[in-house]
This record gives sequence, structure tokens and C-alpha cells, in this order.
Amino acid sequence: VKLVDRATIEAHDWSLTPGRYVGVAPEEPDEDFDFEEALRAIHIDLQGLNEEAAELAARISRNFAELVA
Amino acid sequence: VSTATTEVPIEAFTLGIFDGPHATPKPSDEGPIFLGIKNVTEDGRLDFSEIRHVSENEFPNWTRRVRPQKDDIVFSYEATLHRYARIPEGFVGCLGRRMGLVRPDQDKVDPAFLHYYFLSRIWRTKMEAITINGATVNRIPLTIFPDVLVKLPRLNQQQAIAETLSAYDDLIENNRRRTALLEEAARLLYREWFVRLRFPGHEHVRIIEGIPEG
Repeated sequence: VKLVDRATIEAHDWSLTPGRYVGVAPEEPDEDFDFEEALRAIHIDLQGLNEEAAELAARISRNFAELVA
Repeated sequence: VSTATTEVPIEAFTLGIFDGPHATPKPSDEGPIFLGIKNVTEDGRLDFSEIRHVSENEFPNWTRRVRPQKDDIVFSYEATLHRYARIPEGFVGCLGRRMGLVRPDQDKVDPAFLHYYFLSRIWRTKMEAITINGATVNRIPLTIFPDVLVKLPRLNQQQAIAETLSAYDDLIENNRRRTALLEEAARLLYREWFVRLRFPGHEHVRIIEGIPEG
């Protein structure tokens, strides 16, 4: 538990955000994590899904056009 | 629209209707899926967010009656009723408790159409008519299930219906997966730029007490 007096709070511009007084827990460093590789994998998957979505949307439009023709 | 004029038992459209095991396997951390009612959503999709596994060793014991394969329809017949899902390609698992399986005769019925039919109001009414309301749980008796009379359209019409409906469902599923990927990408970018501070151009910026200068 950490208690602070008003003077300390005033020094922090009256901010009541807990992190201002106790700091934030440092992020666990994961040096093995390859950001670029992870993002690339996501975008490859997205690309495939985007193409599939375009085909499905076209199919839905075609079916609908036949329906109301 | 011309349809079959006579009602025939659902069994006539299937190669078999099967019951699952009446027990629960020992918990296993990995192995084939023990497909329970919780794995089937109300709108007929499979939900693998929580999976109970069967160990590879025990798996043969749990598939003695039937082993689910592509295009089989699995369904719940006790407790939580009216759940129907179509088995996808590559599924490895067995029926869970209170789960039954219909193997469509694909010369007579389109599996995707049958799945939609099982989710329809008309089929649900038929099921409600034969449901046995028990003291603790309700049950659709599998002894009567195969004899339930249905009137299905001809195969080519079934295929046309399923093709039209599945385009919507496939696009919804596609959007679901894209949403998940986009959220993941946004999370990764946020962490890289604002937590690890490796934003574009970070090489030229001094970090003072964990905060970029400027």
C-alpha cells in the first residue's frame, strides 16, 4: 500500500492516476518475439481472406440479381 | 417450385443415424476432440474455444459406434436441444455425451441443405413434438428420430438453396476471422510502437526515463 499527502498530489498536477505514484510494472522482455514476422503472417492470412471475401460478395450479388430479376 | 410430393422418413435420406458414447473420457491435455454440446452454437457453428480431448490411446474406444467424418451432421438430443453442426474436412474427434450423428446419403440429400433444414422452424417443430420432457432434462428419443417424416425438395434444388445461403454464412465467418486478425495486428502494432517504443524513426529519438524526447 502506498499513501501520499496532498502536496505530492499537487506536485503531480492533481492527477489521481495510480501509475503516477507507483510507476508501472515493466514489460516482460521477450527478445525472441519477431514483430515483423508476426505482422507478416497476419497479413498473409488477411490477404487470403480478402480474396475469398471478394468472391463471396460477388456470388451474393449475382444470386441477388437473379432473385430480383 | 416442384418438390417431392410424399413425406418420407428422415432415415431414407441417410446412411445411418448414430448415438454417441454414454460416458465421459478421462481428461487429456491433447488428442482428438470429444465433441460436446458446448462445441455447437445455437446458429449451427462449431465452437472450439473450449475443447475436451480424448487421449490418442483411448480414441478407438470412443469411435466404436461411429467416427465423425466430413459432411456428417452432429446434433444434441438431450438437455440442451436443437444444436446442429456440420463436420468440416480434417476433423479428428468423436461424439461427446448426448450427441447424435446423421450421415447424409449424398445421392439423396445435400449435407449443407440438410444442416439448414435441421436449423429450420419446420424441423424444430417436428422435434418439439417428439421431445420427452423429463424431470431434469428434455430428450429427443433416438428410437423415434429416424422415423420423423419430412418432405424435402429435389437434390438440385437443395443444392441451389444451400449454395445461396452458404455464401452469406461463409462471408460472415470470413468477416469474423478478418476481425480477429485485424484486432491482433492492431495489438501488435500498439505494443511495438508505444510499449517497446520501436516506432518508425525511433533510432533517432532519445528515450528519457522511458519516454521519447519531444
